[in-house]
Amino acid sequence: MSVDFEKIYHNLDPIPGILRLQQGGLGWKSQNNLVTISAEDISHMQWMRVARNFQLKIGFKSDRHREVFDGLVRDDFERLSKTVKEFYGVSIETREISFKGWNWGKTEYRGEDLSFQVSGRTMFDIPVHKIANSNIASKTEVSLEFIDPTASAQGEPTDSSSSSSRKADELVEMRFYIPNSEKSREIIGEK
Amino acid sequence: SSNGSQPGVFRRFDSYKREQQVPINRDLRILVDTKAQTVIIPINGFIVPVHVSTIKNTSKTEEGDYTSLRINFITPGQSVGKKEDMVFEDPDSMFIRSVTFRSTDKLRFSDLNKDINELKKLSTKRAAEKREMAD
Repeated sequence: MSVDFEKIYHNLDPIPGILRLQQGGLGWKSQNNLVTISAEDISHMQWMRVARNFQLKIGFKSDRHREVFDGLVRDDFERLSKTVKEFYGVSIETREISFKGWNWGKTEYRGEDLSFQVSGRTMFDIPVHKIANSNIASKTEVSLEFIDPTASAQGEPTDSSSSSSRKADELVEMRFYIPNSEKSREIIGEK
Repeated sequence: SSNGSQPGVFRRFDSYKREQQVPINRDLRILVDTKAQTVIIPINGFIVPVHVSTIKNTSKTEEGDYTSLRINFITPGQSVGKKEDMVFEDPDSMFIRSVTFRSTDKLRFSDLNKDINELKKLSTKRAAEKREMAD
């Protein structure tokens, strides 16, 4: 028995595929990529609204980087949560996202992510392994530069990943105002 | 009195009240939502709305095949202009000061730059009109 979800995106891959949940684990397949996850390795799952509708985020017991699947719809939640409970014994945690449009909040490290929080809700997470460089630019400013976003966004190089098919806008740098230098060192230091 | 349009008083704003109002952004591109007075930026697959009130200005540069667009935000510790009062709800927070994106689509980034500036101009004009009405 398996439960399928269609038109699902894996990580930042622009090409959608099918997400299939089975007793022993789950798999995602598109025209040129395949991802498999074994049930025993799943440590936790989260559900949240992202750019491409809703996301299932999977964290692992092993040191594998987390995997995310986007493109789920709000109404998928019930079927999805029932299935993962039954197949993997995991309860999905729902994360609240901020849509306030504010540019202030606080950052905290959550597992392998640097998370920006606004009034107790998440605005975004950045995986620490995608930060190529971080600098204290001044007493109150920290900059983060990102690893070639195309390379990390497109997965394995394929014929279709020529520059003309790169549709996504690539984030190359972010700068933060930090009110005190202790906090800047914490952000740089823990990287 | 705590008139929201008075200078020196922080004016609260929300880009979106409910999740259902937030657009779906399959191509993970920067979007301008004029109705919500908001620019939507994709960060690691998240949808990050930033209200026009937080935007200071933009700059665009070209290098080889790539066009870069930098959006600068209003934060403490910078001067914005004599007319504007710098008021922050929580100045002890961390602030996003800038984001820089790149694209090979020169034309679209040019349009985006124009649209964001247009949105900013409109909102500044509206705020000035409100202040005049209040006086």
